[in-house]
Amino acid sequence: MKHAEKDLSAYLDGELGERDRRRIEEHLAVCESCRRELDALERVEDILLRGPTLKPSVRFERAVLRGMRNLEEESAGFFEKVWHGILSPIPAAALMAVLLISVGLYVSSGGMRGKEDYEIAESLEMYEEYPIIRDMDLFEHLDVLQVMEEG
Amino acid sequence: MIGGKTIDDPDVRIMLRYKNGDEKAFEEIFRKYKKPMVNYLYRMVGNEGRAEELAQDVFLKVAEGRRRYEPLAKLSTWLFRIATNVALNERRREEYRSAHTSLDAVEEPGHTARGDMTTGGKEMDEIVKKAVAGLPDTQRAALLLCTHEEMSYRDIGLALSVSEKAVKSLVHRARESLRKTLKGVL
Repeated sequence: MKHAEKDLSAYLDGELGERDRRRIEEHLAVCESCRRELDALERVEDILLRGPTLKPSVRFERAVLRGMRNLEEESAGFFEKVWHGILSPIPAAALMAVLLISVGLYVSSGGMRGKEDYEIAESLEMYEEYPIIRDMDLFEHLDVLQVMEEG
Repeated sequence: MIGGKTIDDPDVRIMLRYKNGDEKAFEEIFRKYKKPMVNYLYRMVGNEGRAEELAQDVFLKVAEGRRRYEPLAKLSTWLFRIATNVALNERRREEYRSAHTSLDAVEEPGHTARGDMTTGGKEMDEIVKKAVAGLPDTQRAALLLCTHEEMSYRDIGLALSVSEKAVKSLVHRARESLRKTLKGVL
């Protein structure tokens, strides 16, 4: 049977299935070299676990808990503003009025231009050949426009 | 849920309580994981003060992300995944700083403890610390999660975004490397 070095770590960690575990144990029973290797890996493990362990400082604990509470307060503050501030009856009515006025002004100023408007603007020379475009200033007088359409 | 299975982890239930607004649940998680987290980060970056700062980052990321939390793995796996990312980013920043400051400050990697060295407790700790620091980042992370956090290869794989087979290899190579580096003091 070939040596089992590559599986020894997994064996040490209890990560092998029943069949592989038995195979390694059978090999270890007859292989001095792999037993030495396993022993060395166990000593590495021991030496790592014997190392110092830090105790988190009080300052660290306070900083984390304070940070968490600040985040919660910021988050709660935001939702509170939304629910109790903006959406309370009087400011909500004011907000709605402002929104309606803004949308009205925007639409009446021709703010919502569609794709067709841009196509016309880009090919203005072509459209200038049409009388209705050439005589654009007449548009101010609806009766004149109606006469043109009838004509 | 992993592959459609519900995760049976009491810590996940605590995290779900926190997700639903129970601040006490965060304190429970913090009490349980503060020490392993600080120690894991200390072993990853090798500096006590920085380890606490990074652990603070990890817990604040948990707090910031609580509403988006989904129980896709054990809570410990999720926490150490965040911690590993934080530690690896710190290592990259450190490397960048070292490369852009003095070359004298860069410690020689791969140093070996000599056989004739007599080692006291602190000296021995220092030798082991340096040997662990000399491991490649993913090997070090896999070994620390395996040895100190007693995580399974499967969970380590989830924490490091690598396969179980890769974890087996990473842990083995890390131990082999330490066995050689620490030959004189074992």
